[in-house]
Amino acid sequence: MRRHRLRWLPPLAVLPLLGACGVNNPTYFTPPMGPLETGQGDAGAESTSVVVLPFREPFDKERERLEESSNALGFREPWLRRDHVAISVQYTITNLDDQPGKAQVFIDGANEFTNYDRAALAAAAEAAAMNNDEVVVLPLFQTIPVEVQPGQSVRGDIREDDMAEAELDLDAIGRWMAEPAQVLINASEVNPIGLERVPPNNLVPAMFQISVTLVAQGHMRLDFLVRVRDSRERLLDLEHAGGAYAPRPMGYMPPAPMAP
Amino acid sequence: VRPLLRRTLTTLGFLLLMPAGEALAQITNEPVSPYPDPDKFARGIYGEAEVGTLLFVGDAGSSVGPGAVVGVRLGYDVFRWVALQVHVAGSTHTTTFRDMPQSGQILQFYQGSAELKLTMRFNRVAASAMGGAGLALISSNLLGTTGLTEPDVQNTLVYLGGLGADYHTMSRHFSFGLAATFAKYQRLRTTGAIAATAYVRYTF
Repeated sequence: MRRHRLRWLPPLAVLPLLGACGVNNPTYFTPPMGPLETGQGDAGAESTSVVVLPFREPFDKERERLEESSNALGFREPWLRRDHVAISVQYTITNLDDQPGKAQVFIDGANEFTNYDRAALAAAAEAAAMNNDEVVVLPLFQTIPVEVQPGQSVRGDIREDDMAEAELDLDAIGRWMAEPAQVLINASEVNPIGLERVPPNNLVPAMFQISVTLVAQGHMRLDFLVRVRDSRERLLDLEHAGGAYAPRPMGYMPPAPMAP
Repeated sequence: VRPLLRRTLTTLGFLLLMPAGEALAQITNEPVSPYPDPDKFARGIYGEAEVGTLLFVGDAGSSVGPGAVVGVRLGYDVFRWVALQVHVAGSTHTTTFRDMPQSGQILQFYQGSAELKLTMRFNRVAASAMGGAGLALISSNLLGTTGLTEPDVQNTLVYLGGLGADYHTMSRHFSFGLAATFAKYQRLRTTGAIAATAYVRYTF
């Protein structure tokens, strides 16, 4: 009888441990150079910080499997996949000025195939522009501009689904020749225009480099966190970040316009 | 004496003696005591399930909110008054950091400890004191981005002590109780945390 009752002991002990395992806990990354500030001295109206996520390199067997899988798919399977890595950004904009001003946050970045460097794209577009036309280079994602009163702070989240859309857009324009204006303006679930060349079995790469820009009127500060849920547990801790996976993605350049 | 009167007296005599015979049968056993004998309470291996609240005090008190805590203890009564137990518990918290993006995040604390428990029993009620040490895990590195821990710290030694009160049911196996525990986390820059829990205990 006593033995009969004791059989419940092991499952009872294991229950709380189950709660601690396999729940895909997030890891947070702060900007390496601290909060961003705009409008100070010659800082201008934009300030950018880049966060590189330290994922581990694939092991030899994993590389072989990626090669085999890429051959079967007909295109390269990414090591870091969007369905394995969920990214979001939490931010707070603080107005340090004595005047109210508008502010918004832009997100750009790179996956292992393509680097979307908006500053380089803008410089190239300005060099090619004729008649001093104003050049507008869209970010991969942008928040709605908000007015911030002097001394006040505004909190916001760029959610995982926002970042997932940005990752799809980056892959579409980088690997599948999508028209940036079409995919960056439209939400793919609402209007998939521009995604015609993306194969239905595409494996969307996750971003490993997140570029966060504060665009503001006046002197403002942006504190932000990049929050990453990595279901495959490939993120390294700070101590081992030196040996992180470091792909060299191609800088995105839009295709040259067709000659008339 | 007339025959009718004799028969009547004999019948009355039998009637008077009948209950006397049954009464004799009733007093052959001692009545069962309605109160349990504490010496017969089960002793040995036991399990406890607890639920309550965990509240941080000190620097983390304003930023790591109070949270629900659940846990289990498995122990062994070495003597009536001393027991050794292992304790695992988990709690979940929401953060509040003023004007910081770390606000509104959810994080969990998990801890496992080995404990010594001393108990003094007064019939069905017992008072206890416990102390122990173990390891606590933090579910994310969030606190490392705020200065409450060093960057990337997600585990820490924990020392804890507390008091409890236990009430035994009529069953020799079951009891209920309340416990209050103070925990000091070595690598967390705060005074500590207080857990107030209610538990049910089953002794095998």
